[in-house]
Amino acid sequence: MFRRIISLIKKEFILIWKDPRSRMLIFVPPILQLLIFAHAATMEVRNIDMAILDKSQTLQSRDLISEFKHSRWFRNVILVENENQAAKMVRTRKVQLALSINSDFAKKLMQNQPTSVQVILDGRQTNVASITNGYVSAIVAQYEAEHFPQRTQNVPRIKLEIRNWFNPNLIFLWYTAISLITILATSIALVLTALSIAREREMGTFDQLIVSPLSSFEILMGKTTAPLIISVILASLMGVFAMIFFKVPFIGSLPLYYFSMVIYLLSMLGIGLFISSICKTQQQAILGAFTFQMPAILLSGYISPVEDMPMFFQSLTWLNPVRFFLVIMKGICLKNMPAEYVYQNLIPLVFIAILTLSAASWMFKRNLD
Amino acid sequence: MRILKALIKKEFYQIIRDPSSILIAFVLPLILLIIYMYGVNLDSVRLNMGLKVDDPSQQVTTLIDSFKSNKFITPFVYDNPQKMYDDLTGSKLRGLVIIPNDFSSKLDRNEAATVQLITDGSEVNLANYAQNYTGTILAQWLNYSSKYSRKIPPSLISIEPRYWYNQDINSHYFILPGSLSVTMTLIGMLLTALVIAREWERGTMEALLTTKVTRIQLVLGKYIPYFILGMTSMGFCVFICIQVFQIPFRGSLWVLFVFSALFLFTAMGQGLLISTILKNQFTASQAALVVGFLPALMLSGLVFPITSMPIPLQWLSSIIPARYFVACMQSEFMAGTVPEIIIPNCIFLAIIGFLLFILVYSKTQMTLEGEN
Amino acid sequence: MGEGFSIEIKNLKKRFDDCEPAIDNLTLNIEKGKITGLIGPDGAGKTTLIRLIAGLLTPTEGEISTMGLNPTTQKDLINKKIGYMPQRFGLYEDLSVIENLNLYADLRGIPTDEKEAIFDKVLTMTDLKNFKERLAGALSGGMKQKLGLACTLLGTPELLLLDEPSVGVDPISRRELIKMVKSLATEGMTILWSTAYLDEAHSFDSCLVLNEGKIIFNGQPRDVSETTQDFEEKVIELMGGFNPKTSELAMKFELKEDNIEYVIEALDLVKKYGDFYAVKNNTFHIKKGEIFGLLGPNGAGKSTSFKMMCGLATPTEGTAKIMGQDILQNPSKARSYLGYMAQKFSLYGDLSVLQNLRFFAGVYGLNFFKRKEKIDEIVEILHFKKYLNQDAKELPLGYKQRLSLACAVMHNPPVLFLDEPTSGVDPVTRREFWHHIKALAKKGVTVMITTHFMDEAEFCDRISLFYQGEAIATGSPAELKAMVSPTATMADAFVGLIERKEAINGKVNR
Repeated sequence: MFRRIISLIKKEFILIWKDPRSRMLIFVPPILQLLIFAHAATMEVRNIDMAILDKSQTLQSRDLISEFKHSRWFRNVILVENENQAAKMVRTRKVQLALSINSDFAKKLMQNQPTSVQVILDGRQTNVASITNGYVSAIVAQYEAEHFPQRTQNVPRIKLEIRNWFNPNLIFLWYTAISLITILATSIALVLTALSIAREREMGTFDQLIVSPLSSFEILMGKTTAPLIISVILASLMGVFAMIFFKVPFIGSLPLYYFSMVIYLLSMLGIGLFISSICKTQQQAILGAFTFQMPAILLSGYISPVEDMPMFFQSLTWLNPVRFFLVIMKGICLKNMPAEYVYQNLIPLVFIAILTLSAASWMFKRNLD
Repeated sequence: MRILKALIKKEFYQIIRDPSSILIAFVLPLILLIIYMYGVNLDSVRLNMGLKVDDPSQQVTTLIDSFKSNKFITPFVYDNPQKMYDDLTGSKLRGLVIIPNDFSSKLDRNEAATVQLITDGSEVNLANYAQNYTGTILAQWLNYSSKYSRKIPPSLISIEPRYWYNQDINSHYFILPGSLSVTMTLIGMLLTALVIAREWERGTMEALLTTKVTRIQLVLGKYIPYFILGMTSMGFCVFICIQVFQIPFRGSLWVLFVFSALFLFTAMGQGLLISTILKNQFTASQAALVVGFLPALMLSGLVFPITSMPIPLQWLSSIIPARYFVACMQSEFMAGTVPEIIIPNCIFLAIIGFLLFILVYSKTQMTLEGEN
Repeated sequence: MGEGFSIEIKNLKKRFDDCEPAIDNLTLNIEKGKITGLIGPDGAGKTTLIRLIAGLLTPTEGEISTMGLNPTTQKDLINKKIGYMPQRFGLYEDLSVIENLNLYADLRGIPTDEKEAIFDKVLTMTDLKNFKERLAGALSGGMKQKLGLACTLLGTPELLLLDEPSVGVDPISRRELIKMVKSLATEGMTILWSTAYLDEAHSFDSCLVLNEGKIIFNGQPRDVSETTQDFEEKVIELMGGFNPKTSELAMKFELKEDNIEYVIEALDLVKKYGDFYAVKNNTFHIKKGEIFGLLGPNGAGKSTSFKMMCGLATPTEGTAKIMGQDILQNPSKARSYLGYMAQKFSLYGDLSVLQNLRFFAGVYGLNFFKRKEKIDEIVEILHFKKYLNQDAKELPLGYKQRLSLACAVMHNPPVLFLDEPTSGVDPVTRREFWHHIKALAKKGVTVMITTHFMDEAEFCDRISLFYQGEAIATGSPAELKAMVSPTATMADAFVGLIERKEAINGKVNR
């Protein structure tokens, strides 16, 4: 039996590897995408342009304005003459926010009286807007602390000491790189397996396989091994890239990492094979792989955490291998997650792998006709 | 003219009778919209946080209550610090707050009391949220606590933010319309890529090439039916957004129609170009994904702000049609028609679209040379 | 331009990439107003030649004149005057019969008011009037061909180019198709009909036989021979002849001893798709060393029967046994006894010859040493040495066939299943193939084969003729012929027995 499976695995490898175009397509796009998108996918907000309407025109207001000018988050600070100008700049997106300082700004401050500044934020991108608002608050608070230190002396106050474990500088790139490696390796594993059976059917070589002594189990085993190995190599390559170019640390256990990766990929391959076994043509297989991929990525916790989703979607994610593996990936790479927590996330993966591989096997047998 | 109509009719019959076209054009976009609406949340998210209180005094219970009643935090109170740290490492908590035993005594003495916040830095976004929430809760508790509030002077400069166009600060209002760029790219690229590959593989292209069909008719015969399909899908999605999900729309439907049409024209050009050059299904779909779909998701400004990207990527973004479409969509829905935004974006789209059209036209062969 | 020549070709050469030329220095003329047959095996260059004539490909060297026009520069003018039917009929499967007709009518510029009359004529001629609304994909193979032909004839072209219109279809449908073309062809229409079936040669006015891009024969078949057999002999002679040596393949074949009487058994096999019976109550027993043929028109159930026997389809009822092993109960063991050779080369084109051989050796359980030994043996016998590292898809057709056969017998199976193994193959290779098969059968290998070739049917020890899901006649070729008439040929027997059954059943859809 093993001899048969090994012959099949060798053949699958040769088929994928031989065509230089397909070789390239497997390795080059994911790595390219990793390099490009890791930089693009940032939730940080930089290079903000703002308009300021200074109705006060005093030393104090100009001090405040210079705080903004010197801040590393704001790029262009444009002074405007009136409200209409400010409004127009926001509306046409020349600036992301407009700040208005009242005419009695300095007077009130001198009298130790509270005053306010009005901030107009462009709500067309709320995530940018709220982060920007946060920056404005921080700068204003800093201004206040610097110029009126006595207000914060000798009063009860709370100082929040923040420590960011595992990623002290909160480097977004690390988060993105690790998530992207998962997503891109998944994509390749899925496509390779989804196409494998469909392509043999279209080429007419499938009958030869069925007619041979290979059992459906052996065929499926043979067809998963080559994509598995290729995906592991790809993920490792990308991992090395991330470590070199993005300086992503890896502090966890390497054996545990590879063990989890294999199980994760098996669950993915199971899904790919299932898709392949129900599709008659390559076109359908590609569409099927795609239709699964998109929601899986969106609902994996990459964009927003699973625990925040409505119950319906949360329960769906129990069948989404990406969700569990993302946790494991980040855990092992950045946190040296203790084994028991890794296992808690591995067990669902094992279940999914068994489920999908059996379903693929069953579907496969049914569709032999 | 007759020939063109016949080709379009033929394409329509094939679309209607092929379930995978319906899947891509209507089912998948609908699923995506539902996921964007209910499954993904870019606004404040609810976090699991650990809480350890070493200060036994009475006031601190009100602090614990304010953590518990905050709608963005699900607090878990721990006695065992090691377990708490493990749970943070094990991704069960997003952050921990530790209130030391001298917390209230320091406050009583008008000194600064420290509170420790440890976040899971591997989740950068959530760590930021944890910081914000904790800071806000602490500040509010202090300012409203009966014991301390009178001792604290109010801050001198307060900020009055107004979120224009989106008072609810609801991220769905911009994500959903913007997501249509991804959907339309899917339709424009994936569908056309697969359709042309199918034409070649079934051998019907050969027969067409020996009739009176001219090159322009061939090209238009591909553009037009899928353009109509795409616009229908777009209309369906817009309807769902506005009527079912209640996304506010303050602009003009005509303007929406115009720039959607321009964008679709461009997306189709991309798809047709890829499938005309790469006749193999695997390579065509990979190319469609790499060149069209992922950039539309990542580099269009839909989720990640373009201005925050490194400069080379910002240039790259300028050749991605989805970027212009997203800009128009977000603005049109929330701010109404802003000509200074709409017109330049439309011009770019038109230019890219026509360039692609010309490329597709020149690459369309009327012979079978190079098929093998 | 010579009088009466529709197509003139001089020193035509066509090369794809760096391969051997597909068309190698052809010079020929095709007469106007006649039906010329373009005959040759797969890969001979028939499709390439037709495409060159239509302007779908451009010549590497040489000149072509199609109806006085240059296909490279005046293709749009040519398009107005030709009808072209590609190999896969050029039909839109998702469109109905009438929608396909309408489409092609528009594409060929038929005035709207004339459409109705033309469609009527064509639909009656092709017997498709009752199927106007049916989707083209739901038609049977024969019907698709007729529809494809109908679409090509719209617009009454001057030149009709038909690329293998009769492919894969039984003799009855083939005869009908030729009849149809002859009657629909108006005065002065030139028809070029390409086919792989040598036995169609006598239906044409003139014949052009191609092999590997070169002309083997150009003229009227009647001039050289009276019957199809003689013509085939003549062609083989022209191709270099065939020297029957002892089949080394068979010699090296080691058949294990066994005591089984019936090597292949089918017991009440039934295959149902929903309510439709594809195969009904199929029972037969095949002895060791027999060559057993399955014959019948397309859709009759012979392929389905065949597939059930070798494990490609699951029977709805009944049992199939190989060497006494039930193929459903012990699939692995049963299948290890059989060798399979599919139609049209289903080995891995992207793998080299050696890689293919190694793969099949491994899959059929040959251990490492045996594998090497056997592969070396095969390479020696079938002269693969220089092709060892070439991709299988680039082999000349004859070698592809040999490779398929080699992979099928590598593990010394006592049973061989051959599914139309010689379709599309040149006559010399066909001879050689049957040479091997007969030698293997003599050694005790049992062979089950499906075929459309009447002469191959003659080689079988026994035949089962299928029609509408049932085996309507089983017996030796002589017995079947006798059932129809004392002087019947195999083809006559085929047609006669089926027409007899048709008459019994009443009018039937075809």
